[in-house]
Amino acid sequence: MKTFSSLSVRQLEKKVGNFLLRANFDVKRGERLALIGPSGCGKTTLLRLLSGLIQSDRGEILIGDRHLTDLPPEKRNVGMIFQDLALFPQMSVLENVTFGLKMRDIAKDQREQIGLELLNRLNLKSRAKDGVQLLSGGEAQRVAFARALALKPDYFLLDEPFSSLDENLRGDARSLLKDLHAEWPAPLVFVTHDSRDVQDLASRALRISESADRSLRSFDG
Amino acid sequence: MRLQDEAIFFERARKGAALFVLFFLAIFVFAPLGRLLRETEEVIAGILDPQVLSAIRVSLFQAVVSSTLSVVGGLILTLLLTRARTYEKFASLLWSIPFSIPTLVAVYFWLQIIFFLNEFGFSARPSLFWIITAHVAFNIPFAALLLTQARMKISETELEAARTLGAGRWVLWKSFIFSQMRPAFFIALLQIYMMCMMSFALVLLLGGGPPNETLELGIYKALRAGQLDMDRAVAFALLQMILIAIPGAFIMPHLLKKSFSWSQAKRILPIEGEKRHGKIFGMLLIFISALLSLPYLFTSLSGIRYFFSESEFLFRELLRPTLISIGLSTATMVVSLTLATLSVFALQQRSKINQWVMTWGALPGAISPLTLGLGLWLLTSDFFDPFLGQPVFIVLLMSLQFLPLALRWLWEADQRDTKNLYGTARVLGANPFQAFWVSKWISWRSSLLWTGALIFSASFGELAAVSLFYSESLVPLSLQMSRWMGRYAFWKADAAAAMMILFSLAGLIAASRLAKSQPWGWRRG
Repeated sequence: MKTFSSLSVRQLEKKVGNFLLRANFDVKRGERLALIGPSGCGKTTLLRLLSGLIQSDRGEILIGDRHLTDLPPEKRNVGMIFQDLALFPQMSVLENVTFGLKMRDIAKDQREQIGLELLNRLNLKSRAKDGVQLLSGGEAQRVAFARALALKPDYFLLDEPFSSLDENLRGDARSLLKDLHAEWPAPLVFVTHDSRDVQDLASRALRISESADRSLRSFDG
Repeated sequence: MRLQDEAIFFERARKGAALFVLFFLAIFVFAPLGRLLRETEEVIAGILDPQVLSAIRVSLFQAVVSSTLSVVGGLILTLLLTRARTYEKFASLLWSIPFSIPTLVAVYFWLQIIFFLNEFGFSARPSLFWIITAHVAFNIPFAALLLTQARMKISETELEAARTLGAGRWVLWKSFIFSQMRPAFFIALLQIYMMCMMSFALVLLLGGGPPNETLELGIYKALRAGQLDMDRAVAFALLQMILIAIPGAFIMPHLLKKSFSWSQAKRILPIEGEKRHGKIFGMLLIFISALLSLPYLFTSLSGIRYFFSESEFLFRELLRPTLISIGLSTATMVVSLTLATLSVFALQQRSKINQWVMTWGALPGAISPLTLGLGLWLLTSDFFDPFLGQPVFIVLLMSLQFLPLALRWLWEADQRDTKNLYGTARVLGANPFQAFWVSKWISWRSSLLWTGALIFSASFGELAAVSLFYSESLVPLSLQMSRWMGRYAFWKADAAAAMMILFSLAGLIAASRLAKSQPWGWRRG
């Protein structure tokens, strides 16, 4: 049985354009932390820092006692969902879901079994061989969830994960995400502009605070 | 006009435009080619001729080696650019310089290098090595532009998603970057192969004679250098068409399966991790790009000094060829842009006829001007003596040569998403022409200006299309310059190159100034 560790962000700093972005918070096992703030304030940049897609100038990121700060994204074991979902158009649904497992050298039979189980859980098994361009918005969303979950990640990062869905589908997607997260309760950080996401999904929310001259923006909590 | 009447009016106008373009192509492309294809027995007879065999070998060798090296070079520049994206604009500017330089000016630069080397004791002389070197140096920037366009289309979030899922750099390159760039890679390879196969001025002046004779050169020599040998010219032309068509037939079906659109380029977001050593990569990129582009400009502009010191030569020998070139280039620009505009207008409506317009309009790009010219010669020589000089045929050949380029750029301008603007203008009371003016004209105008300037510039240095239908009273600047080079009258060639570059730059500067300014009468609206 997997034991989940907290995600700790310690005095993380990054100079972004004309301001300094700073973050200092912990996300515990099973917790879902919402990052909120106006457009362009640095929310997505923070997620990219946490995923390793960009390098911080200072500070630390830890999962339990394991230091992640200097690790490239492929070594962090993070489940990330992008705003536009970033499904690989040249691959089938199943290939998308099992791509991370393939990168970890898991045998084809085994990864297909994991992938199909996940797709079955998300009612997408019949679409396994389809191209991702054929999926509806809701289905694509579920494939993105499955792809992030397949890795059994140490933490989740979600960048406005429901922005491509209409309001009816958003409610279902939130419920599904909550259920899936209950089954794999790794620390989860998400960025949103939608107050309903915060209300329905977040265990806690961090709003950005800015210095008077806006040269320092920080997420503290 | 009622909505239905308006729809009928435009449908008829588009059909008329399509038919006009198809009629034009039928007369000036298909009829000459058809006439040429009637002579197939010449190929069978000609292929056994050792001179023809040698031309096939040289043509294939130089085209395959030049195109492969050019595309590999272009790929290296593209990869450097992805490590130093802040230099993108500057690098693209440098890469576009060879586009605006008449081929003859580039050839002249390489001839000067050869003579410079000789002055320093190296025994350099025109040879196959110099043909390949010049082709590669001239085409690397072109390949880099095509490949960079393809690289820009790769979604950066897709790459980031792959990285967060565990993909290392090799997997990213193999499975995501190169797999999506592959169509552009093969398009670049095919286009450069075709250009090298059809290359004329460069091979003529840098080849150094019979051992390095290509099929394109063979056509010219059989018609206008020495005794007229029509059978041999036809054999050279048909064999060249076959050698161009074979790789095209292999590559094109593969490319057509992939959806490859030129107009959906996305900006690449910079990846912070890749910015390490970005400055070094950037400097290297700019250095190589400048080395491949700027020498042509500087070498040619050095001839300006003769404008001040040799005024008699300027008026007696340079003025007439320059005026002839201005006339031919202007006419070429007008004919090409008119045909391309009509084609794009027709293509706005999907129909079977319009599919033919698109396919046939692109065809002249795969046929060398000398091959097409030979077809015209065979078809019309009973009525028009080519040795008396036929400016209309020269303009036709050049216009058809540049039609695919004009068609592609204007098509892109037309496809820019302005539906909402057009619709808004219409609901606010504008008629279709006024709505076009406020929505699409901005992108059309700049594309027309740039395409026109580039066609003008390229036709100024065009030698192949000129070489079949010139006469002693119709010698444009390109032909005169190549004669001076052949007679080692280098200071005269210097002045001619400077004149060519000045006119090319003037056209481009005018296009850039006009494209940046507000459309005519815009503020009044």
